[in-house]
Amino acid sequence: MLTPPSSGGGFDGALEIGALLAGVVLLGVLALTWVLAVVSPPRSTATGFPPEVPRHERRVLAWAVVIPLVVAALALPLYPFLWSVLALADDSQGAALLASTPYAVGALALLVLVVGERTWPSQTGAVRRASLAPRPGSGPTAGWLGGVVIGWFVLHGALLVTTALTGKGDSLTHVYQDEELGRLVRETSRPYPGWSFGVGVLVAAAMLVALAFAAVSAVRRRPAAAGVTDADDELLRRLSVRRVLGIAQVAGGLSLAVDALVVALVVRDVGLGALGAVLLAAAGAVALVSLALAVAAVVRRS
Amino acid sequence: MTASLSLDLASGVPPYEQLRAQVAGLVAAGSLRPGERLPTVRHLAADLGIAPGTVQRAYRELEAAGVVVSQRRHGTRVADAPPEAPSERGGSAQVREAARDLVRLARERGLSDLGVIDLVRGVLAAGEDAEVGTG
Repeated sequence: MLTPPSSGGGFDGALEIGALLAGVVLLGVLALTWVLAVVSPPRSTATGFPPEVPRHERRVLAWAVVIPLVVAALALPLYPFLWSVLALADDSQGAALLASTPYAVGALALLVLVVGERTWPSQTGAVRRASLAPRPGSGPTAGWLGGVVIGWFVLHGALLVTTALTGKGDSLTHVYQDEELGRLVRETSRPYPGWSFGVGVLVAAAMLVALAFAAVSAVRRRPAAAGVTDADDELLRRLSVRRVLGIAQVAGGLSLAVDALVVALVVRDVGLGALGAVLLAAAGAVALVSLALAVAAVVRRS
Repeated sequence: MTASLSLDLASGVPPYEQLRAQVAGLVAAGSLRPGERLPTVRHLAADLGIAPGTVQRAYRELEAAGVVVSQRRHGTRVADAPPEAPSERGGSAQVREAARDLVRLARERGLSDLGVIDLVRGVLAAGEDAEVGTG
């Protein structure tokens, strides 16, 4: 069902399975974030949070799960139709669309989180109170988790530029001297990410990074939670920033891992077994690390 | 303890004037010290759910009165020598202490904050010598 009608094979198989699996895993991380918000609301350092704060958090996270899920559920059966409607120039562009699944899921979730920050409960009564303490450094910074988001983006860019420079179109050819046969052997394999694929995926990646930092900025700018101490307000902002960046980096990490997996399989096919094994291990490591970081980012509630 | 302020939108006093009066009062009482930073206009307006222009006007009036200074790089800070700030030495420290005693006594006797302000205003208007004791 997922193979587009015009496709002659190309980027199916590992890419389709990997991209969809990454999308499902990402939805799982989002669902875990919501479950944690339900069963373990943030632990106040002082007198507690007014009920509207955890309620708003739960509602936003529920939408962050439901919206990407609904969009995915609608998009998947329509995928071959979308392929023809978008009139993509070649298989590579369609494959880039598919490979951007984790980015798309992450971007939708981040969009919901941005809206959640923009609709953060503010004071509405006639009598309002505010602390006169300035927020330290204009609020929590992206910190090292923001560095991870950028890091996955840079690595993904480096991988796709390298494959675009070393491949030809959507294939990789390797010519080497076969000692047993005593002659030059020419091996070609595909699908190998080229410029057309790389640019599409990197645009999606750049959009995700931009959305992540827009969400962090929205967290900094949102009003202080009414009736909580400065320390608790700071804690809520820290949790929100960590959650945003945890989701962004797992989307980036999983997408990078899927592309590295596809490249590893092609590289192995053309006789570069050692490099293929290294890339395969790297893909697995990136997927596991990004997943572990995401879980750690959303599990920590203080 | 962090200084805070409250705004009563139902009151007849314009919100910017409430902000101005409270910040000036906190500086005069020594709760906000010279050099201390105030929240940005945008943050304070967001926290109170009011228009940034309201906070901006209050800050502008405080600046004109010499209570705060605003600098592009450093934001808004309490002026180094605000006009109503009590010095640690001399009579103004005693006045501040007396004001605290008045508030303490008023709260012990169940007088509202507004009642205390009205009382002080009344005494000032009558031009009487204030006899402030600890009771």
